[in-house]
Amino acid sequence: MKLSRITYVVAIVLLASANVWAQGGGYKIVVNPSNPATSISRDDVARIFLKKSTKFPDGRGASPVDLPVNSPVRESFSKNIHGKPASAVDAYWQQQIFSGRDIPPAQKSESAALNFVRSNENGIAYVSAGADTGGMKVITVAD
Amino acid sequence: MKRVLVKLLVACACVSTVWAQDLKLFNRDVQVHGFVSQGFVYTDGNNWLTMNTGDAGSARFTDFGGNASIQITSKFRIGAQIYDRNLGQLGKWHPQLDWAVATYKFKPWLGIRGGKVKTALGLHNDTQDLDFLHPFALLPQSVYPTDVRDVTIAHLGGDAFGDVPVGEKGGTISYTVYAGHRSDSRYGGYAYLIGKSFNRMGGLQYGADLRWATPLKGLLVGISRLNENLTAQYSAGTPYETTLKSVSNWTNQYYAQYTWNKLVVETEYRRYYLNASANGGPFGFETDVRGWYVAGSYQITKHLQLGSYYSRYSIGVPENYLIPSGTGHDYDKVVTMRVDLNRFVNIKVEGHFMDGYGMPDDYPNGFYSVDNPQGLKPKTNALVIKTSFKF
Repeated sequence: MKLSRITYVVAIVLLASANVWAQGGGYKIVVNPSNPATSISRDDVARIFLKKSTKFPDGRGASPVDLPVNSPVRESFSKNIHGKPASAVDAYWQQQIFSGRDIPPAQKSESAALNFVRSNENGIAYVSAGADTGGMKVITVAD
Repeated sequence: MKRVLVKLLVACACVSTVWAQDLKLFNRDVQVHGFVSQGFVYTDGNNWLTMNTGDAGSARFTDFGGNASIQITSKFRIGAQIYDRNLGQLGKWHPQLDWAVATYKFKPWLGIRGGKVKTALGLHNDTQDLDFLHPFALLPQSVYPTDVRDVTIAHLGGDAFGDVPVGEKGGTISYTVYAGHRSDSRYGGYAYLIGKSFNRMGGLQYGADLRWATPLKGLLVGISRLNENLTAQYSAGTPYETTLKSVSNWTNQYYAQYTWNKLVVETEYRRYYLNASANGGPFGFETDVRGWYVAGSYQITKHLQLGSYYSRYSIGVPENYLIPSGTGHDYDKVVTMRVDLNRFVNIKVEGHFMDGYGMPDDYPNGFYSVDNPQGLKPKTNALVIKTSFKF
């Protein structure tokens, strides 16, 4: 009985940690409060921020904004979502920009990103885990 | 020229600051980007790439460009880029519209773009000018000969493109199909080879590129095909103009790239074949150029990257039985070091150890008889130092 209780507690702790990890050890995803989503898959987040998709899974339009390349929050987001450092994703965007293939999401400061999402019903951004996200919805990233 | 470069760098720094402050047009974000690179080349054998590299070396190795793009809607984007270069006797500071494109993406698997469009051919054709994107100061000249960039760099026309998943776990295939018109600059390699009698060269281009991001993470393989209906006009020192028209003119390119953590290895093979007739008659010529390379690079630290490649090309003139196939060749062993001072500036130091010099009177690829009046030596070693700034 004691062993099963310990196992149960360890399992709960691990699951909770996974959920925190899924949000990133340093970032959280925010969307406009009118967005009905409560969670989004890692793959969908990656596709939106690489502009491979312009919609949320429910068909609603998605307008992503990035933080600056040298932001530690972006680094955390990039490694967790894209599986690559921010510099590698930036290199991808440089290829796209200078060959005329595509342009990256707008880069904004954290406060400007929050203002964008607050005023844009299709907005999606990531901010530091401790950022004040009053008036916006934080959604979780599911594997 | 130095004053021009200083002014340009100051302008770039100012623009980068402005860019950081969010430009807007009709309430849409305008993204502005640019770059400038400056190189120096010294050779101990032949003069190379139309530069006088064999004496004290040459710094006539400069290029720069700038672009602006606007995302009008989530599916529609427009943008344009200007490019200019001076590479020895090529370019000569005649700016070009590098690309100007309107793009509409219907679905992830179908989009269209039109205007002057960079051509999808192999791994690096559409980014070959962008020094800051590559570990090497010069891409392998067997597949990306910088003196004839005009031939493949862009077409005036349109593309259809898209990404198609291969099932749930089969990776993604990205395709591009295109058609358009090529028009060579008077300051490109063919014009330099032909000389003052060059009139024009260009024609219809159409082709496709297929690349597969495989289920093995980091592995990309692909194939490209380019067909051309080429017309060239020149007088070759006579009062009469010669018109060459291609009977058969195509390029096949196969490539693979594997990225694992800080290591990138890649290989490409390109075959270019031209069979052309002169003035509509039975006479003409054939050219069969085959090139390939294997390259690797490793990011040692955040600021230091080392790389190396082995590049080979051979030029065949099948109908000219006096010239054995493979006589025209260049085998190049290269080592390079790239140092990124910060996100914007990098410096490269690169060594080339070349065996051969192609066919300097018949095909524009690195070595020209007019630049080497004393005759060409069988081997050339080159030191290339290059720095670039981008924003």
